[in-house]
Amino acid sequence: MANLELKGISKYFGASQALSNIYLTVEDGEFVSLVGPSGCGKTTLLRIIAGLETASEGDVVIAGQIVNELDPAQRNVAMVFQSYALYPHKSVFENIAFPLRMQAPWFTRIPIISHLFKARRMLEAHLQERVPQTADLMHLGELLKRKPRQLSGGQRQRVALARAMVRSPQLFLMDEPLSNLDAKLRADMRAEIIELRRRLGGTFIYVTHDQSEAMTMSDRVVLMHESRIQQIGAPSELYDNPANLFVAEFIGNPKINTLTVQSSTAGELHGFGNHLQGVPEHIDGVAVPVREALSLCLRPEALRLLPTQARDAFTGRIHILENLGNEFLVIVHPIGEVENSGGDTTKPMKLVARVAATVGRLLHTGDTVHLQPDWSQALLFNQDGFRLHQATTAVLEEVRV
Amino acid sequence: MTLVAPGRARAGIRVKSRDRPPWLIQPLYLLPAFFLLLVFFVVPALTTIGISFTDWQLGSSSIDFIGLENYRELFTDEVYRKSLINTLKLDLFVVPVSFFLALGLALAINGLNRFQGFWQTVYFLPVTTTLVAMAQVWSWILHPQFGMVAQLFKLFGLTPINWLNDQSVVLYTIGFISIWQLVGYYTVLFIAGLLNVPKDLYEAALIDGARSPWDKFCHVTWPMLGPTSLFIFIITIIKSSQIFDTVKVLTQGGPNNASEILLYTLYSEGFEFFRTGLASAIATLFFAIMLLLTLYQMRVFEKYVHYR
Repeated sequence: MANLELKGISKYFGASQALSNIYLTVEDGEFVSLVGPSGCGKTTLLRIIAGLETASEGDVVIAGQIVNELDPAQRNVAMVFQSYALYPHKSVFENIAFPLRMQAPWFTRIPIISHLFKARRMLEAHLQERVPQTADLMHLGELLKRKPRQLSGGQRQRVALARAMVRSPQLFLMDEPLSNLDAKLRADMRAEIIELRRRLGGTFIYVTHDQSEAMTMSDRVVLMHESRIQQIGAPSELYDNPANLFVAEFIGNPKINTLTVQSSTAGELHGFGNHLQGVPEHIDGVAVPVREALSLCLRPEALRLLPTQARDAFTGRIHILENLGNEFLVIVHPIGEVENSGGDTTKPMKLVARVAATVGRLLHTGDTVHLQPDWSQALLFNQDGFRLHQATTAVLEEVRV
Repeated sequence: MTLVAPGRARAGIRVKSRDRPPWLIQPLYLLPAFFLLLVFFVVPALTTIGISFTDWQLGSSSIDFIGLENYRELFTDEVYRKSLINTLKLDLFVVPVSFFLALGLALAINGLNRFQGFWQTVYFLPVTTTLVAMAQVWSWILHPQFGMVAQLFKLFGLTPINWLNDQSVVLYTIGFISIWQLVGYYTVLFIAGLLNVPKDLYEAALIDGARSPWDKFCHVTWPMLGPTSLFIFIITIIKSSQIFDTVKVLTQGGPNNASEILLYTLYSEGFEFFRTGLASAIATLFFAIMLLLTLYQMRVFEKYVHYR
């Protein structure tokens, strides 16, 4: 176990920039997810930490030591690959034993003759104890003699994890380890990794494009976009207090509602084909700027379905009702033609609200509904996607350092 | 079919052939290929085996069954025995050398950052040549007095070797020319095999501590090349047993039968001395040896080869 520091990491592939000035500190024993859309640089960053790729600029510091010049084995990091990368010709036992065999002196790897050395015999004895022990942790006890091709996807994943764990590395690096599994198995493995980490401890850097994976597993989430870190924080911090519009829209499922709105006078808002009155003059901690196009963001749970019209509620028509069993998602489109003030006109304007199943069952597609925002949960961004809230600048400062 | 049939029945149209059951129609599709194989492969092969038990001579009208007499002659006659042993010697030289040379070249070319295509072409060029013509070129290069090699030997004050007329050397000269011609082909096959090794595996090995090129070769490259290697190994044996052109053009089996090999013996017995019965016996023996070798290899190596 060790802590990790990234100091100003940049990476160029020819003329294109894959990473731009990345600073990150991961504490000893922390689980940090690197999350972002594909092409954001998260995998490149992980590969730089592993030593499979060298940074164009900046330092990688593991346990207080600059490791830029060290190869992956010397860094003592373990990595789990998306494709598992198991050795197809080796049994499960030998796959798990491989890192330990490689740590042993070279002469223990000479075929046949090395059995004459005491070191080889001690290594074999050690493996006979250590490998089954690690395999048992991953519920692989029965499968040690099998070849990878005889295993299911989930079992292969376990072998890959066992191979990573067996030599107690300083860092666990995981590159989308669950993305080749089906949805059910993915949820199981997710729980298993959380459980495993609780038992063994260890510092984890976990790359994923799946925000829900990042949210459920990590202590902190690093959200990346266009080769930069957009925000670093606890999952709830990113959800409740996003630094910019990209973070707000990336985190959360269903996606946060984003409306282009404008205020003509204090307490009034135009948007979604509606003219709202009696709106708080302060939203998201700032006085709502007048005569400026803004992005108003509302989580689906921050919209309340009203039985009757209210002055500060949006009125629309139910387009789709999604029954999720315990709750319904109500997808509401504005009534009539709506001029999309400055926003993206190709994207149909809609609001998604979460309602209890008891309410949802009474609704029908085509019904006219009124959605009242919980203004205390509303977020405001300017047209550049920056949060208006004062705290934003502070958060961004922290990210940029 | 059931959707169409009622309408047809009403219209009184006879059920067409494509509606007949598959067990009837499918063998018909196989017939052309089967016929060709029968005429050009199965019948000649069986005929050859049959003739090998007779004393038939090409063009002769008399034919007598003489049992295993031809085979007895093959194993007792000095020339034929020598031919068999020479063939094995040649295989033992050509197969390992071309196999490992091709592997080495493939690893070297694959390790290059640039000009991979150029080097592949260089080594592949001999494959595209006509061996009869190239054999003639080699005979000039290896000429004991005026050849390039002889000149080079003289330059360094060495006695030139008579490559094609020295009994102890000639077989290896023939082997060398064969290796020169075919190593590029095996190299290209190996390179194709190397390109199929997943990059992830090398990275996993690197992280697991396999840092030296040797470790990477032992634990990733070599095991992952298994199917390719087995294929190339079998091909090298078949190809090296098929050496004929160079012997025909350069040595005619000489000097003193030192380059007499099975295929050439077969040719001279069958088409120069017209002893078709004996030639058929050689062909049958050759076929049997190749078949056994290949089957044995498949059996033995299947255990060590890991198809993904």
